[in-house]
Parts: sequence; C-alpha cells; structure tokens
Amino acid sequence: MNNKEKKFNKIIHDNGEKISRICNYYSANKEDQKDMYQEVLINIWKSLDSFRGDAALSTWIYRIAVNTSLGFTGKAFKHLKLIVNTNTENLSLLVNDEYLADKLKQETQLNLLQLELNQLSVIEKSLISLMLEELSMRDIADIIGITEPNVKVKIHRIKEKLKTKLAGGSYE
Amino acid sequence: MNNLNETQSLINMNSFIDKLKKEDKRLHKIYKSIKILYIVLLIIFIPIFILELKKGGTIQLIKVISFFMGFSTFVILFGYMQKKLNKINYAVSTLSLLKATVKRYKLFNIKDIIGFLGFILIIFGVTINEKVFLAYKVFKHSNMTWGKYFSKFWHSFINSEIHFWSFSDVLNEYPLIVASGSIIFVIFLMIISFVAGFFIWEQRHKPIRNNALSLIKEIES
Repeated sequence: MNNKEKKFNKIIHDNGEKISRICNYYSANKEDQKDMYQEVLINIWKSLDSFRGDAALSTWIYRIAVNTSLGFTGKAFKHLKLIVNTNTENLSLLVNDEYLADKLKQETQLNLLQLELNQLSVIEKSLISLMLEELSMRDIADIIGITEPNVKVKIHRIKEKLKTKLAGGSYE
Repeated sequence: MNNLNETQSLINMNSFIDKLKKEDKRLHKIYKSIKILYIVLLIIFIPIFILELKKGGTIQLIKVISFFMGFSTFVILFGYMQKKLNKINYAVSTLSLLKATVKRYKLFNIKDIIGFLGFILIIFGVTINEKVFLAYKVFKHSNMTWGKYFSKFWHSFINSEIHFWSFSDVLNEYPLIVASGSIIFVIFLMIISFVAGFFIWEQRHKPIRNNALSLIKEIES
C-alpha cells in the first residue's frame, strides 16, 4: 500500500460519514447518493496530491463535496433536492423563531420546510447544507469563496425567506 | 446514521481504490505513449531537417524552423492540455472553480489560437520551397490576379484532370498550384473544423458555461 493510498484510506475512514451526509442532502435516491459519494471520492483521490494542508482537512473535504455536487447535478441542477433528515436536530438553526421551531415538530410543517428548501437555488442549498453541518461562517466563506459578512448576509436572507414562506407569506 | 453507513457500504473500498489506481496507470500509459510518438516523429523528422539544412539557403532554413516550431507548439500544447484536463482541482473554493469553468469553456481560448498558429507554421514549413517563390515571381509579373487565379483553380478542381493539366500548362506554375491547393485545403479544413467545433461548443460547453456564469452572478450578488 503506497503513501497516497494510506492517506486516502485514512481520510475516508475519518470523514466518510461527513461525505455521506453531504451526498444525502442532495438526493433521496440511494443510487444517486452512491454515485455522488463515488464521484466525491474520485475527486478527493485526484486532488490528494495538491493538498498542502493550508486549509483544515474538513474544509478541504467540504469544498470537494460541494464542488462535486455542483458538477454532479449537471443539467438537473434546478431540480436538485435538498434532503433534510426528519431527525436532524439542527433544523432549528434555520428558523430562530421559537414558535415556528416548535411547530416544526409537526410533520406538516416539516414537509413544508422540505418543500421550501427544495425551491432554493443550488448555491442557497449548498449554504444551507454547510450550515446544517454546523460549520462556522468563516469555514463556509472559505468553501464558497466569498467573504464572511457576505455569507452572513446570504444566510440571513435565506432564513428570512424561509420564515416568510413558512408563515404563509411571499418573499420578494 | 444507518442511512450513512448504507451509502458507504454500497462501495467496496478495496476494489474502488484498485479502479482509481488503474485509472492513474491508464493516464500514465497515455502520457507515455504520446511521449513515445513524439520521439518517433522526431527521429523521422530530424534526418529530413538535416538534409534540408544541408541544401543550404534561406528558404530551407525557414522551412525547417517553421516546421520545427509548429511541431513543438503542438507537442507543448498537447502535453499542457492533457495535464490540465486531468488536474481539475475540486479542492479550490466554489467561486474559483466556477470562474475556472467559465474560462475553460470559452468559445475561443488562447490555446486555440496557439494551436492554429502551430498548424499554420507546419503547413507553411511543408509547402514552402524555392519553386513556389520562383513561381510567385512569375505570377507577379503576369497579368493574372489572385481572384482570377483562384476562380480558375476552383474551376479546374471541380471539373476534371484535363482541365487541371491545361490550367497548369497555361500558367506553367505547377508549384504555385500545389501551394494554392494546400492553402485552399487548409482553409476548407479550418471552416469545417470551426463549424463542427462551434456546434459541439453550442451543444455541450455553452450550457455548462452559462450555468457557471449564473452561479457566479448569484454568489457575487
């Protein structure tokens, strides 16, 4: 087993679940999840020689996963589904409103949130998926390639949009 | 958690790594084969270059330099493109990746222009010789214009061999006909390549580029 293989195996062993979660956000279909997971692994393998350790390993992996998801979705990027597991505790991160957070416990509200999440653009979905992974604003900024304040503004806008829609209004 | 483990377990890591290693080996083999091809071509061409240079004269020197430069341009460009294609770095930020995608899928890239120049240099090196220069001198002092010349050339080209030889006989500029024929053929090839390239770009690359552009716009907004 050469060095590259050892390094690769270790990365996948330590971060396999993280990669799986990201893949699962983008598709409910097992086969699609598997394809995307494989694609991420291929891109990790290809990029392994260029990893200099300038960024944290987790940020590096998330970058590859998010970038792969953009390429992976290809022409169907508009139909990209953001799958949020019903057990995800982090959903409260999306809606600060306590009342709505409580209501989210109800299945209908969750379905509505799921529906609204799927209406988001691919970039918004990427931001949300990274947020659900509890990454810091700094890390999200690093992954997407924008400034930290810009990430904050974008996430704030998404939350506002979701809140308005969940409350039954329309967001401009 | 079960869901995650299911996804991972669908992939047999050992066979997967074997596939990745095989792909690396396959790419390595392609690079190696291309290098061997270049070396073989150089072995064939170097004696021709030496023979040409031994004849002496400026035209021979121009011929060898043009051909050598054109050939080298293709070697360097091809090597660069191969490396670049297989080194698409997914570990950069999303914005950088999208910007690189927009650049990669432009209709005209600097590498296309360099490739075109290399092609012209090779054609120039192949067709140029003293006879062409002499024929051009005669042509310049005749009452023939380029328009008339190409129209006659085209006429003889689409009609018959007899026409071609009578045309050749009338002008008595056979080397010039060969050179003109090469130029017309190259132009024809270029038009066909451009049209085909444009359709491929329109169908395959333009949607990717447009998609990347709209994502950049969204990220930067």
